[in-house]
Amino acid sequence: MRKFLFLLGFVAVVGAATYFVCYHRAMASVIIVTPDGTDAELAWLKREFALSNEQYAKVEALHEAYRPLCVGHCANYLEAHGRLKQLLETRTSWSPEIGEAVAAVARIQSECHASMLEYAYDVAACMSPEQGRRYLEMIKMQIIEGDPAGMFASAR
Amino acid sequence: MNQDQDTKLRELLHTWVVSPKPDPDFAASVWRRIAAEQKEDSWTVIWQRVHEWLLVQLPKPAYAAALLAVVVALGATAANVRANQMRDQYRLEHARQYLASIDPLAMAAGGSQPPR
Repeated sequence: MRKFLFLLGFVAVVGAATYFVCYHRAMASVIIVTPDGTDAELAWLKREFALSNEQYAKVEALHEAYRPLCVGHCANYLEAHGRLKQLLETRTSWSPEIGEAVAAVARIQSECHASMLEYAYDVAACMSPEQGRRYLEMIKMQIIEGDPAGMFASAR
Repeated sequence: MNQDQDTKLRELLHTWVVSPKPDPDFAASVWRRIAAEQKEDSWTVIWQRVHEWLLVQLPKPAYAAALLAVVVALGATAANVRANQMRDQYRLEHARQYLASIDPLAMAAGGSQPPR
C-alpha cells in the first residue's frame, strides 16, 4: 500500500511538473513586454507579421506619423457624436440641426475609415506580399465586422 | 360456553382450505435473484483483482515506468493544447490593442476622451 501511495504521489508530481514546464516553454515567446511598457502593439505587429528590422522601422515611422491624425479623427468623432447625443436628448421633434448632426457623424466615420485604410495600405506595402495580405485581412475584419476574432479562430 | 366456541372454531378451521394461485413469474423471479447474486459476486471478484493489481503489480518498475511515461505524455499534450489556446487568445488581444491604436472609432469607443 505504501509503495502504491508513493508511486501515486510521484506520478502526480511528475505530471504537474511536465505540464508546468511545457506550458511555460510554449508561452515564453508569446507575452510581449517592452522595456518601458509602451508600444507593445507594434512589438506584436513585428512578430505577428514577421517584419524585418528594416520593415519594422518603416512601419514604426508610418505609425508615428499617423498617430496624431488618428487622435484628431477620434476627437472630431467624439465631438460630433456628443453633439448628436445632446440634440437627441433635448429635442422632441425633428429639426434640420439633427439632420446636420447625423450627417456630420456619418462624414467623420467615413473619414476615419478612409484615413485608417490609407494608413493600412501603406503599412501592408512595407510587408512581404503574403504578410501584407494577412494584415489587410485583419483590417478588413475590423472595418466590416468590428473585430478581428475571425483571424484567431480558437480564441473566440 | 368457551368449550362450545372452541369446537365451532375448530370446525370452521377444518373447513378452511388455502389454495393459492400459482405465480407464473415465480421461477423467473427466483432465477433473477440468483443471477443478481452472481453478478454481485463477479463485481466483487473483479474489484479484488484490480485492487491486488494496483497494490502489487503496478508499483513494479516496468509498470511504474510505463505509467510515468503515459503521465508525462499526457501532461505535455495537455500543456501544448492549453498553450495553443492561450497563444491565440494573446494574439487576439494584441491585435485588438493594435487596432484600437489605429482605428479612431475603436479609440472613441474605448474612452470618452481621445488619447493624447
